[in-house]
Amino acid sequence: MIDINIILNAVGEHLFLAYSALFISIILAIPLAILSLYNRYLASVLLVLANLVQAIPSFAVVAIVVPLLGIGFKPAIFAIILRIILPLFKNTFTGLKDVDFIYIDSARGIGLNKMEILRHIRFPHAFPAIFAGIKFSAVIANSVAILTSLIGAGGLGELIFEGLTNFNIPKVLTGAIPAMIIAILLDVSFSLIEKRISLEN
Amino acid sequence: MILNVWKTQQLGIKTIEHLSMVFIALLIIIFIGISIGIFLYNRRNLSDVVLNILNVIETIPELVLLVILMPFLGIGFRPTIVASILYSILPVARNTYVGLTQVDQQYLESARAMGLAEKEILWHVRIPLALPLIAAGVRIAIVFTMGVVTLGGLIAAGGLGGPIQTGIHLYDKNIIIITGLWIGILAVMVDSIGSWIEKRLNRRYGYD
Amino acid sequence: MTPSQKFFKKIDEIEIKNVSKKYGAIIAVNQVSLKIIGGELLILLGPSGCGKTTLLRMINRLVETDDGQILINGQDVKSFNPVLLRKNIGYVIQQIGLFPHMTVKENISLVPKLEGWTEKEMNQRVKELLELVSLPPEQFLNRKPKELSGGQQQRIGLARAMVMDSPLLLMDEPFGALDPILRKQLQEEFIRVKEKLQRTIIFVTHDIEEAFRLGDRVAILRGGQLIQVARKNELLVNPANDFIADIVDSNKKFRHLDNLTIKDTMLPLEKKYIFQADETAQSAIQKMIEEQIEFGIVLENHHYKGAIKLNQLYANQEKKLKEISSQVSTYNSTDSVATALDDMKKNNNFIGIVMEDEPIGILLSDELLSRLI
Repeated sequence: MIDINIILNAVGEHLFLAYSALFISIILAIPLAILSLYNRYLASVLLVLANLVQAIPSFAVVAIVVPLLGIGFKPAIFAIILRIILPLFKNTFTGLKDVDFIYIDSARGIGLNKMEILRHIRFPHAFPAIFAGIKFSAVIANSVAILTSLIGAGGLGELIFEGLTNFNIPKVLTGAIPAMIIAILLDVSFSLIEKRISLEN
Repeated sequence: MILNVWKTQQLGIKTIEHLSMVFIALLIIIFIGISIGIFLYNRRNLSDVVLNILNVIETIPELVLLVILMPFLGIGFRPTIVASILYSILPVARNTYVGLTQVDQQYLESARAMGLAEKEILWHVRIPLALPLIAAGVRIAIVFTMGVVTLGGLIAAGGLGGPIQTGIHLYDKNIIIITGLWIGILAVMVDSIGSWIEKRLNRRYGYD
Repeated sequence: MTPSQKFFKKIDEIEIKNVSKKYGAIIAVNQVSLKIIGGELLILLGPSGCGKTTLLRMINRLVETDDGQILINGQDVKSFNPVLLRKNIGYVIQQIGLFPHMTVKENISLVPKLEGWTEKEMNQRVKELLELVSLPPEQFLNRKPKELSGGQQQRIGLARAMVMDSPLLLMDEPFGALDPILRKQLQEEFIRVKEKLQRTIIFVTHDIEEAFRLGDRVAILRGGQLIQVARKNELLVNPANDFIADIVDSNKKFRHLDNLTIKDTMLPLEKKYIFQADETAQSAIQKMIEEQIEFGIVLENHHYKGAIKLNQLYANQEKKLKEISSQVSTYNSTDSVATALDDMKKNNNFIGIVMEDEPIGILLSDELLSRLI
């Protein structure tokens, strides 16, 4: 009844989906945050958007992607990115922006240009915020990846949905329990990394 | 076309079902969450443990949480409400705890020196000053609950999740887009009410 | 609700017997013994870290002694319930700590409310107290702390500390965070209030001038130990050691009285104290609250017109400053200090303006005097 191979397969699909989305979102969010540092209009638009979109249930976001992009892997990744790119952006942006003016001023005084200030002062300061953003988004990516199975992206969600349609509770659990374990492992590993980083500092 | 979808999918009724579930869950969440925060505020060791456990529950995908309750609570309304509560207690409890413990020392010192007992300090100083933060936590809880209740539609709890599921099964673009957008609008409206409450409390009790 | 018991109607004596307090390896208070006479204002003076604040807070048990006893009228403070004890003792701190979410009235009447006083009783008491600290009640009853200047907040802090009519008042650097001129203004008012109140007051400060101006006796502490406690003149005549002789000596400028000019001893006039004759009182009030001051000099075309005080302005908000300013004596920067002091004493002024072509400084008589003693 419960085939380990199917489960492992599903886990693999799930992880791949979630983390590709995370990776792409990070690559997109960071440049956006940097651009927003110097363009107030962009910053305010994105911030308002971020707050708005966060309020919308993930399920609705996933569903809306279907009429626009169809079903399958690509729309699924798009849905996840939609969900996590804005919080990533917001955290990175705030981390880069909220550096004490004293430091920026003295850096300018020594003769650093904008790029150098960005690299040597803003980024180090922003690490904790960026890290928190990534942790937050990883959890959400994990959650949304489950939902995207509803639109044919495979993964653990598929097991859950199949189980639901057939009222097959055990089957549902074969999807749900691994998902839960992954989530807990995720949280634990992030906390460990967090401790490592703060120890080094 | 919108009206068509509205009627055939009974969006009116579904909206009411949806909002009622959110409302009921919220009442319970606020009550339990704030109580937990108050209970923990002067019990440091216990608070670390409890908040950590709640934190772990947070990382579990909402659907998974919902589904895992099924063997115990069946389908429909009950697991949906319980899942919403479990998921959304953390922001309220944590914000209450932080709000109560991080009141500026000078106010606590004045209160103690005036001859206020610990309980009186809790009610007249800590809680009022923590209200803005608690409101922020409740606002987050509202967003989470809206999400879980939407998912509840998948396990026959009623609410707006149902029509979306129908739309996906029938591959009917109209149903999906209209219901999806409606959920989005509803969510933003509810959140802005939450935001308004937060701002008002900040003005009255905030001290920046 | 049954009101709490009044533990002492009047303080006869407070005895601090061999009291010590340790924080890990640090000895904050080291076997201090001290007797406080009922009705006096005793200053606890010393550099930061000398234990004066810790000692103060052991009296109302915000900090508990490790060793030794504190007796009020012969009774050990530890024999009282700490919460009830504190309702019998008034306490004022430097940061003031007015609850930001309560109005002035609610702040002051919080304890009475918990004690079950009627609305009428509370209103009456709050009005009395506000008048005592020179704040017109109608204007201030319903304000929130953030609408008040530092000086006004401190006055309300004092009013709040006195609401239960406690015979003992503990004050921890209450004027420390204020503008220097404002500090003098408040010290001035405090002396007046002190006379009316007739309480026992224990006052912590690190400011020697403040100590000498306000205190009946001064207890000097260093490194957690009591070095000497005595009246002002005795400290001058019989300092216990070099440390004290230094503290006190540095103020003995009277030998140079004839040689010092006003310019040497005045407070330079900062921009924030300057107002224009055509400004309205309302705008002046705003600026004063922002700058946390309560005093100003009014100029008309760079010429000195008069001086203004914040409290006068409230009653005349629509008027222009030139109509409200009062005359204050002026002196030349080259005049001798002795002449200026004489003049101020004759006219009962405590403040004077120092002029060259335009106003350049402010003279405060008590400050001068205490600097010279």
